[in-house]
Amino acid sequence: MASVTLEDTSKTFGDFTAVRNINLAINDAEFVAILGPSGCGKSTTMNMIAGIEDVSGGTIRFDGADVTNVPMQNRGVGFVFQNYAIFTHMSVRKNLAFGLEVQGVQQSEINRRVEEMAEFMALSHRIDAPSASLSVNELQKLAIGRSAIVEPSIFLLDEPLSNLDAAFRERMRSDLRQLQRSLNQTMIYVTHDQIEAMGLADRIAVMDQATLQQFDTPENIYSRPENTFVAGFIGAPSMNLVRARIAERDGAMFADLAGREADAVALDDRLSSQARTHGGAALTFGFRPEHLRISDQPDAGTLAAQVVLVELVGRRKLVHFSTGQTRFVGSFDRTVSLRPGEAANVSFDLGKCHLFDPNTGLRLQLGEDD
Amino acid sequence: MTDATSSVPLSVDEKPADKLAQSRRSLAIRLLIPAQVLLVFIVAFPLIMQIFISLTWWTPLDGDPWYLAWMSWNWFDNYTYLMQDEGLWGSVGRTLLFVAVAVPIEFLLGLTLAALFYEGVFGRPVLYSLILMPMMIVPAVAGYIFFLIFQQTGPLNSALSVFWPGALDVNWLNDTTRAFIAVVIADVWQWTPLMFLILFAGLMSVPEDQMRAATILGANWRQRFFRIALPRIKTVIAIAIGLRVIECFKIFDMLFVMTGGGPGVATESLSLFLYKRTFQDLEWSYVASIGITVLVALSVLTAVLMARVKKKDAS
Amino acid sequence: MAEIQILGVSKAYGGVPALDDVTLTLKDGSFTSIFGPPGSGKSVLLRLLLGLETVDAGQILIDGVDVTRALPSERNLGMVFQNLALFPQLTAYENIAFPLRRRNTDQAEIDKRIDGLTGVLNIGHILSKKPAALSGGERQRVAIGRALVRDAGAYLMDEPIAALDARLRDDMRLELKRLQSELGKTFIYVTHDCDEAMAVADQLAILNEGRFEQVGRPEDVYGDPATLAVAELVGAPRISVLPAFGDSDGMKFALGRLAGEKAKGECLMALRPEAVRLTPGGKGPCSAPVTDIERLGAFAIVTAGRDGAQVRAITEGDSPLQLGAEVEITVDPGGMLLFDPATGVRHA
Repeated sequence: MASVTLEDTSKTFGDFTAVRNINLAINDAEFVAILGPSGCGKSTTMNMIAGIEDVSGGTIRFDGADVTNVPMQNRGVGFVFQNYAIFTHMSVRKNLAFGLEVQGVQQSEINRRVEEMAEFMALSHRIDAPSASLSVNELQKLAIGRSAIVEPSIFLLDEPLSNLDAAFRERMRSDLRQLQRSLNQTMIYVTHDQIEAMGLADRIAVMDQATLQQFDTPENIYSRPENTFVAGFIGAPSMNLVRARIAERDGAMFADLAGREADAVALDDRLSSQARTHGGAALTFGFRPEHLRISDQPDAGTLAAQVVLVELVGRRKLVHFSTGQTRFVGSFDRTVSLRPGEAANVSFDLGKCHLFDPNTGLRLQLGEDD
Repeated sequence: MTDATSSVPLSVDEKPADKLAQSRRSLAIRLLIPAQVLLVFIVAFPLIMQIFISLTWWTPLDGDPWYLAWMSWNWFDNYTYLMQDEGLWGSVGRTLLFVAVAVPIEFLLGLTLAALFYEGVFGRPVLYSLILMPMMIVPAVAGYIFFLIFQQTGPLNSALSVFWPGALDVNWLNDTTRAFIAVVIADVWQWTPLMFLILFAGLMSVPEDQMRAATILGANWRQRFFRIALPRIKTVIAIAIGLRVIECFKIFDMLFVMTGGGPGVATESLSLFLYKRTFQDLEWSYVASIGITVLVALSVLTAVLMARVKKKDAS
Repeated sequence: MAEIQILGVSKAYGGVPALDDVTLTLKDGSFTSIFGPPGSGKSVLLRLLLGLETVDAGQILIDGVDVTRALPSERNLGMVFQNLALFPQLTAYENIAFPLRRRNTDQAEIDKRIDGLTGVLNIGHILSKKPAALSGGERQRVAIGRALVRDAGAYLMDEPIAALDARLRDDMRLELKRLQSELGKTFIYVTHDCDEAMAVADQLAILNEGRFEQVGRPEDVYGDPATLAVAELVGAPRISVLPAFGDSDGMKFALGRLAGEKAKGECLMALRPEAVRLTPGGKGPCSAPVTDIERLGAFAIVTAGRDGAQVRAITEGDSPLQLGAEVEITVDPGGMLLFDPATGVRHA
């Protein structure tokens, strides 16, 4: 177990900046996911932590000790590659034993620990099979077991589930959760799949274009995103971000989402204070598809819209609405009956909606808890 | 994930049941015919001719053209003779000794060079070309270069005498043991680059991720090389060694130029022996039978080795 | 115009059957999704349809014409491959024009066809770029354009959007659906993502171990699965399956008793997670401790059970349930599906 700290760490390849001054403090025995779209710098960041890539600037510390210039074989980290990098010319047993053998551990001790790990990863029945004959699922477990057996203080995983198809991924997510709990190690996990990150991590570091966007618990990332990028990246389907004209009428704040003043939505106290403090005439109004409701009656809190398209996606129905000027998506239970062409009154769960600055993309907040 | 790239090849025995397979097959045949015709003339025909002659007593000294060789038919007399020919077996023995000494040295040197290059060494591009140069020289020319070097009054002796006074008197090419050593040195110098080339290419094909994984698990250079890299290039090693063994067995031009087989028959390889029998003694039918025997022996050997390697690879 | 009929097709590789007597009709202008786990035979079926391989038995008919033995070029089908296979040295425009140039179509016709597609695919602004300079989504659209420019009778797609980010996948799914309804052509879409399969298709065909387990409208396949395999394959998170015994008191199983469907005797009970309700407290006829909570923002997957009997439920993302707490388990009507334990067939 060890804490990992990145201080102003950066990486450039010639002209190209892959990671720009990242500051990250990961606690002992914490499970952190580094999440972002392809090309955002997440893999490079992890490679720097492992020592596979040199650091262009800044420091990396394990438990306070500076490891920035320590070569990768001496860092004591475990690393699971995206394509597993199993030694395919060796059996499962020899793969598991490798890390212990190169350290000069006694053979009897090696045998004991290899068998223990095989049992733990449910690979005992294949322990003497050639590793090249394993299924993708088993390869993944072997990759984790091979790294775990040397009991590294820090465990790094590079998109380990991306090779598996949808059905297996669900199963592996719960296996990984159990593993982390029992090994009680610091785990850092790179992925572009936000469901994975949400389901596994204690905290998520969201990255985009070489910079850290937000580092927080999944709950906060979901319900209090720092900016429009994080807001749009987390959640499937992603948060609706609609341009709104803000106006004050009779002492209350209204957000006009449809270009029809009469149809503006009344804001609650929290959002009204934010809007007043900001003072701008236009803001980005963000609301998640799963927080939309259909109202029977139009009132100050609802918006009239037309159903444009209905998609049945598994157990949910995605309904695409249009107000003429704007389009947005709602996510409902599959039993809801809405047909394309119908008119509907959409209401918002204002307590879960957000306002963002239209230029900077930053979320408006008045206090720490907002 | 779907495995859309897998496709079942049409075996020759399968009756083409549809137009697509039929058109593929006819295209295949049309493309192969020119090469097949060439093969018949260049390989098949001379081979048959050689087998034919080897079963007779015929030599060009008879005055008859080769197709009349049947007149001196002797079945397998040539083959029984070659079993007892001391000259032949002596040369085979010397050739085998030569292969057994030269090839391992070439292999180890080539492997060391390849390993050094793989881990990274200064001035790689320049060094790479330098290392490969000996291989580019015509073997006969290389032979001549070494002929000059190993002269009693040549540069080698002069250089050595700086450290060992009296070396100036060492006679290389006229001494039976030292001539053998000289030829081994020449062969190693010329062909180690080939070993290096093949082994280096093999090492480059070792997946980088696996080497990285090994490093992160704490393996040092030696452990990575011997536990990961080397086992993975077993087939490449087998090919490199197999190639060199076959080529080395046939060594001719270098020997011809350096020693002519001498002193005496100390460095007479099988090829040199055959050369003398063919062009000096004109015993063509006898030589034909030896040629066939060598062909069969080497083919069997190669097939066995390859099968063993394939079986190991598949497991 | 292309109605495709697959009749009794079988294909084996080295004695191992990949497809076993499969039959499917794809009506003209329909969007059919073929969904199945890896190794179920989806790719094999596509290759047989295209003509890249030959069937061992059965027939393939396009518009009533038997094409079982026809060459791929005679079948007039367009294909979008999983790895796109764009030519890296050609611009997007040239990539799309490629099939037409091979047929010596004249330049004016090529321009007209590509013009017609650029609006629909939104690729007008990237036509002069090479694939390396394009984003994943743009490359995808170019690959689709190259397949569509041929004006084929039907289009086959082998997991065309599997490699894209989640958001891009959502967008592309919509675009493909819109494209199909605008063009009015028959689309055959192979995927391993069940949500995606249901979202795009008019007709959903579930392929499992070389056989079609069920073919029908997505809502029918989801709500009314014919076999246990279909119920397990279609639906995320996974349906919970437990052995149970039905009698006059309801369904008895390892965690207690649930009021439910009327099947009597031994059966396999499958519970759709979205229909399972967990209430704190452990007093009802069916209760168990919470063994796992996975919070995924919009919702949470809570697993409750004892030993091998585990039931998954969907709750609010901010559900207050804690690990180890006793919960009462109930199931909404319609969320319980019963299957014969021997055959896997659904009880009516």
